[in-house]
Amino acid sequence: MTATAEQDRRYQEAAAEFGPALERLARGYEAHPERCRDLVQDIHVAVWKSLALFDGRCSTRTWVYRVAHNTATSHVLKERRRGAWVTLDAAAEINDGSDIEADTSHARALQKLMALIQSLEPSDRQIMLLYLEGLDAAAMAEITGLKSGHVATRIHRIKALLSRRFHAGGRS
Amino acid sequence: MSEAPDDMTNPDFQNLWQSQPKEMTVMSLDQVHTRARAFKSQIQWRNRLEHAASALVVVVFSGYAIFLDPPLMRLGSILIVAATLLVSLILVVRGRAAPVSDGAEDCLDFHRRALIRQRNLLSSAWLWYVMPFVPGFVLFMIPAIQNSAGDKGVTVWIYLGIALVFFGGVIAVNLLGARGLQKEIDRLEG
Repeated sequence: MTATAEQDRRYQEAAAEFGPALERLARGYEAHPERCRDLVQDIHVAVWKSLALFDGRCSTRTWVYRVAHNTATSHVLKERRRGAWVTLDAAAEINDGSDIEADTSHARALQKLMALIQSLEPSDRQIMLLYLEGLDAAAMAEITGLKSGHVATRIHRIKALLSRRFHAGGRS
Repeated sequence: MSEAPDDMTNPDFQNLWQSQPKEMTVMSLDQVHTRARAFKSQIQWRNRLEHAASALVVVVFSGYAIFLDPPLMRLGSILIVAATLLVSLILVVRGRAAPVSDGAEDCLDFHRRALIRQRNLLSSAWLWYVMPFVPGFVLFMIPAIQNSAGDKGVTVWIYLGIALVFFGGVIAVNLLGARGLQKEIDRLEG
């Protein structure tokens, strides 16, 4: 099998396994539907290209998530909207003015969650998205490069933030 | 993901997130190959556009270098052409050095590398983006000042003011951007 055929095979397996997660990841970085579609495609191309270099030093999942988050981070850094980003701590201080009743709607809750994710700085956003995908702290640490202790702290903050935003009606 | 999370699991939010409707169709392998090629030609097109803007400056100031009368203006024009070519070359070289992700590098390292690269570009813009144009600009302006009617001292100050506002403004904006990036880098490392 040639290197390209091997690369194609790895990509197809990765796309089948992580495709939906990559789409959700892109939504966490890009709110505009057209640009989000472009970002998803850019991520797929980046994953395909990178798999030519895959040497098994980490799991395919770690590799794919790293490439996807790095591509998405490059995307938001290029868009230069960093002035509007906040840290998890700062997000916890923001009262988003929503009411409890409205948050019972699934669509509304998802919309609100998306807005919260998109307001975060890239490094906090990475942890939030990986947490929502259900990865454990060790996997998150391997993907992001943060120490396990830092990951655990951030997850604790994320849970507190989500709880405050969704169960307390945005009261800070 | 179906991997069993540890005790940090919050099924409400994770289910909410993972149950999003899937909207986009999976890209076929052919589509991925095509987009990879298109991405390359998109970069080539952007480079051509930048080169076209540089070419315009080169053509205009080459014309000045040939047809303008005062020798200092000619020399100034030649230096501006040289500065334009130099800046274009630097942009091409630095564009090639843009960080590309592979899965061997974790997100923190990649993010730091991207920010440091941007910061360095901005903080050194005075050197590689502004300074090359200064000698040509000065030589180009001297005959204009010499030939101006009225008080030459006032004219010098006017030209000096214009240069300071223009070049100083470019430098200040870039330095401010670099400072903002440094804060982000510090936060990442903190």
